[in-house]
Amino acid sequence: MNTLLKRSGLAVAVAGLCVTAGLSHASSHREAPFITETPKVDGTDFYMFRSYETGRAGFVTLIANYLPLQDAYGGPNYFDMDEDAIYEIHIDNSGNAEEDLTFRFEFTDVLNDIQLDVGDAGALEQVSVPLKNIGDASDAGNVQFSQTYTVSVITGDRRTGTPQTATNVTTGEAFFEKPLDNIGEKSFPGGYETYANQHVFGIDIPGCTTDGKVFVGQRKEAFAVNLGEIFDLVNTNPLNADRSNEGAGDLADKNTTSFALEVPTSCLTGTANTAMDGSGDPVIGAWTTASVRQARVINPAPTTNGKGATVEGGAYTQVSRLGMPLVNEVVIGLKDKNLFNASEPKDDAAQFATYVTHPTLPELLEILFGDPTANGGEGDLAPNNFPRTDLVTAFLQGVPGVNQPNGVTASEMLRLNPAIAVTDAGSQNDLGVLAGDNAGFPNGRRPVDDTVDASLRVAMGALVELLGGDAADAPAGGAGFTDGVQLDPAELQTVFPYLATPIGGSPNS
Amino acid sequence: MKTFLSYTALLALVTLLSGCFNDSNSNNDNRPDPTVEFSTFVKAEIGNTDDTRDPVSINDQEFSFNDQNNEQAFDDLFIQ
Repeated sequence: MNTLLKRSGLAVAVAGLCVTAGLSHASSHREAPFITETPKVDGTDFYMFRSYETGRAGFVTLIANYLPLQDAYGGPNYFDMDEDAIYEIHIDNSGNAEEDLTFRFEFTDVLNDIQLDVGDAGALEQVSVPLKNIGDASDAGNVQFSQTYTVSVITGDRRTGTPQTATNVTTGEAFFEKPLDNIGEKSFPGGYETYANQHVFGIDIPGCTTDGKVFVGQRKEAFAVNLGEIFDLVNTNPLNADRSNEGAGDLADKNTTSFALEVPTSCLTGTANTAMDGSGDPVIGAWTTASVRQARVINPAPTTNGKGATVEGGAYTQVSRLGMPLVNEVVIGLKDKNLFNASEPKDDAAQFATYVTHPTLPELLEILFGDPTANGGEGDLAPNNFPRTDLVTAFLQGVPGVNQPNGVTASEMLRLNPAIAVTDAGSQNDLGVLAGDNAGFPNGRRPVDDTVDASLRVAMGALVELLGGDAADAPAGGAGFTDGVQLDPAELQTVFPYLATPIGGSPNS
Repeated sequence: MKTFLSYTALLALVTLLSGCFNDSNSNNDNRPDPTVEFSTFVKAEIGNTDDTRDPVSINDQEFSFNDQNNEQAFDDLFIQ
């Protein structure tokens, strides 16, 4: 993957979110103009939580989703990753807004040209088939195209730091197999879930004394959002506090591709506090990115064994970034969305602070659902405590006493305090810290967490008084804002990789 | 003649001092680079592929596009 010329021929008490608040397409699905052109490197959701699988409390699970809005029937190519890109999860365990550790995933296309004899006896032609598989896809001999991946661990700067290669515990090799997407029942007669579970691997991570787990493959979308209504000027009632009969949301029939990595907690917290005894600073900050080569030339005559569809080169250039959910959707102004995707947390204060201190989303909701003339012109919905220090705290620094690192540098990322005890799967509250479940969002993010509702509430002032502000400045701070949909926790797994088996491409009728 | 030599010496001194202080942080770097032919730039980037590099800033870079009708402009990249 690091060759000079690369080919992409065959394939390619609070919520940080807070700020982010509610009107969203999805957590980060097609959220910036440029990333819509390159869906394979579009980071969509990022989960980070203390593992709640039985016996795994000493681990942190990181799940980075890419390639949004997958319709299960999207054959014949389905949803492979970009062989020419790098996908990264960055860890800041020192609170300075710079990565101390990076997990880098890189893919390799594997073509097994399958040909059939076609024609009359004596004049047979061997012709390559157009499909990914010509039989049971769990049998590698029937599969024409697949992908493998490597995982590198980079200590220090993501580009100039020290890289080391993680290995497959079973094989001792550096390569891991990515399962094919869920083509359908006929291609996986033994069941897709059984096939996919064979791609959960033990991983020997350099610098860790205990093995972790890794899985990269298709999963059912877990992000619940009322997509159509939200972007139709919030064509629903966000002030309907009754969440008892909410639907599943517009993404319930979609799949995504998940990069799931379970890492011993002590490998992530670094030297700050590996004992997890409260004596140090265990808070982990993390975000995901995807980068492609800066230059790309389209090949007018792609070949299988020579140059592929493109020739790419130059420096890796970041095109996707995701930490807290919803940020680039509903916080960052349209004109700066591409810039945000190319940016790094260390530059946030200089580049994006105004979007947090003076957010537009609450004002939009005021116009749509409130009375902007009420209270002497201050309105009756949107908070009026400018600059919004409550959002700066929750969004750029972490919640004091929960997930704020010592001496934190203000920056946007997901932050987790892994010293906080896990909440069992059956007892998790999808409003997380806002509902007293401190193991949930914004202390990291679990698959069950309803980050849209939590973000809406924080954006509309749920934390203003709690963080020392005047309650009168947040006239709707106590309102139960909701986008009207929720994830059914029963569809999630309670073991790694936690997200559900993807929807199959067939049968559909 | 003496005056000429003095001016020459002064000019040389200024030139030397300019050389001393005209490093990468000088004002020269704040000016847009001269126009660069786009296909040349792309080939240079592809020829300088390294995982440890930073991307090249192009906001102040002017490009010329002289190969818009040259279908063979990038053919050398596809030589196997």
